[in-house]
Amino acid sequence: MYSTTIITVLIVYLLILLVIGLWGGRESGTVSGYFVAGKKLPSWVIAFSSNSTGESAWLLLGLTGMGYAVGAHAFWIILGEVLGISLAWTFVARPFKEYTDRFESITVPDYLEARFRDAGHVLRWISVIIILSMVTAYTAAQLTASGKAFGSFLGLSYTAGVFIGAAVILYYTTVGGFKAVAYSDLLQGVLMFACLVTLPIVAIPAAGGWTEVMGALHAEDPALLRPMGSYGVTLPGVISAIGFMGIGLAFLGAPQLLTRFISARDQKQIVEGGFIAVICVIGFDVGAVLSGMAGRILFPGLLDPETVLPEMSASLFPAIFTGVFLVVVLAAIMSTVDSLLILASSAVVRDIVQQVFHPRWSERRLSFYGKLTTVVIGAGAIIMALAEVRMVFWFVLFAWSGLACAFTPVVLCSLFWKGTTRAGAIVGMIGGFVTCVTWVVFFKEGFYDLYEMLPGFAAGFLLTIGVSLFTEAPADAGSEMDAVRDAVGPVFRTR
Amino acid sequence: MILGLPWTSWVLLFVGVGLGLGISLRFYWAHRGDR
Repeated sequence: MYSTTIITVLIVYLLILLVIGLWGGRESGTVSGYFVAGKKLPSWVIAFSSNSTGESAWLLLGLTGMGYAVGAHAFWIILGEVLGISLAWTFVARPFKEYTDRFESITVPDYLEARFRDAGHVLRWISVIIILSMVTAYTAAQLTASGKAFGSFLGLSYTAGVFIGAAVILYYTTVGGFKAVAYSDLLQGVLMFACLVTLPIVAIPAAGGWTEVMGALHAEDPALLRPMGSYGVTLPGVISAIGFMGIGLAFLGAPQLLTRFISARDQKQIVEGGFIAVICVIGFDVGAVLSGMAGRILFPGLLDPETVLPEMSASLFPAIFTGVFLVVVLAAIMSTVDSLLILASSAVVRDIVQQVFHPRWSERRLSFYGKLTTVVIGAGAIIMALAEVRMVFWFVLFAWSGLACAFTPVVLCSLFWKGTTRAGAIVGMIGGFVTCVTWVVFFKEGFYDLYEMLPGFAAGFLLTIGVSLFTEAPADAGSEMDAVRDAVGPVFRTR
Repeated sequence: MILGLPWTSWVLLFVGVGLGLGISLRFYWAHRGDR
């Protein structure tokens, strides 16, 4: 099972990451340098970094598995993600960037505190607790996928796979900081894009061609080609489709993605980055779903649909490409984990240690603690990954939805509604998060598995707006929002 | 059926891809000269 070619490709990839870590290290000696690369990143880097952070191992293993399991019903995920990303870059990114530059914010809690004049740091504490709990779970899920990937491709033990993946990520993230994270995300995003565009181009002809694949799927089960899948136009079918679309909502306000907008060099990078990000996600998602559909014909009867990509890479490509596919799966994992670790570390060191307890500590000392925190959180995630269940898809979605439900409704209200208040933001954030978690634990099964993002978002918006209507917004928040709108100008018209 | 896939599935696929591309292209075009 061990192949010299595969191992060589893997070692070359890991060495490149180590070099990127060393190169990024020049920027990581300050708090702003370590957590947002000094706000100097260009469009290509923020676009690919945003997408490869948002698209974890779930894209390669989970979404190809979805294409395999449900066929064209998975097109709803494409619709949701492409819409989510295009709306985020078009409507959210520029006002958010403008606000964070004005406030000199380098984290999302920084922004919320400044936006709502939260002198008591309540929003900051709530954000940090939510970020830490979700990020550790999310990172653990990704490390789980790392163990699974090494097992599928190289036959290594699950434990060894978890440790190898975590060690490399922790090295380049702590040494290189956000700059290394973002540029490694660019490399990883390009690899993922190339893989997912190439895979169906090779797999569909290998399965006999487009019409043969569709014909075979139709012969097996006509529902595999219908948008509403085996449900048909029924309540469970509609709920399933809406849930699939809902996955893309998180792109509008998840903190690990908003950080990319903060780190952009200027507004021009966001204008260019939006288009790049949309092209990128189309390649990612269409490629993954079509690959899964072709994979069902090539490898019928797989016990775990999430193993379809490793199966295809091993059977359809020469050994060197099998190595490349292992690298791409690792890239998807690493590009998410590194960003989450930096996010969690910034939550502890920037948001709490610096802003609440030790504002006078030196930049160098704080960045050292940032690196130390990264390692500690990484170690916690390793322990969780070794102890937890190995089902990637829903575990990742839960952490993904928890972060999104807590932050997105509040961030969107704060950007677009002058009347949003500090109390509204606090209640909305807690309410969105708690609803998401309780939905999964108590209600999901009884409501046709309705995806928790939807009730979480609904609760977040209702509570933020409802409480804001009965409380007072910061006195100058309205004029401040007008100034931000003037600075960014209209969305679709040239000034 | 168009190329073996029901037309409803093609519509779903093209709505997703087309809307995203349309929105982001329109946005890029409006701000291409911004600094």
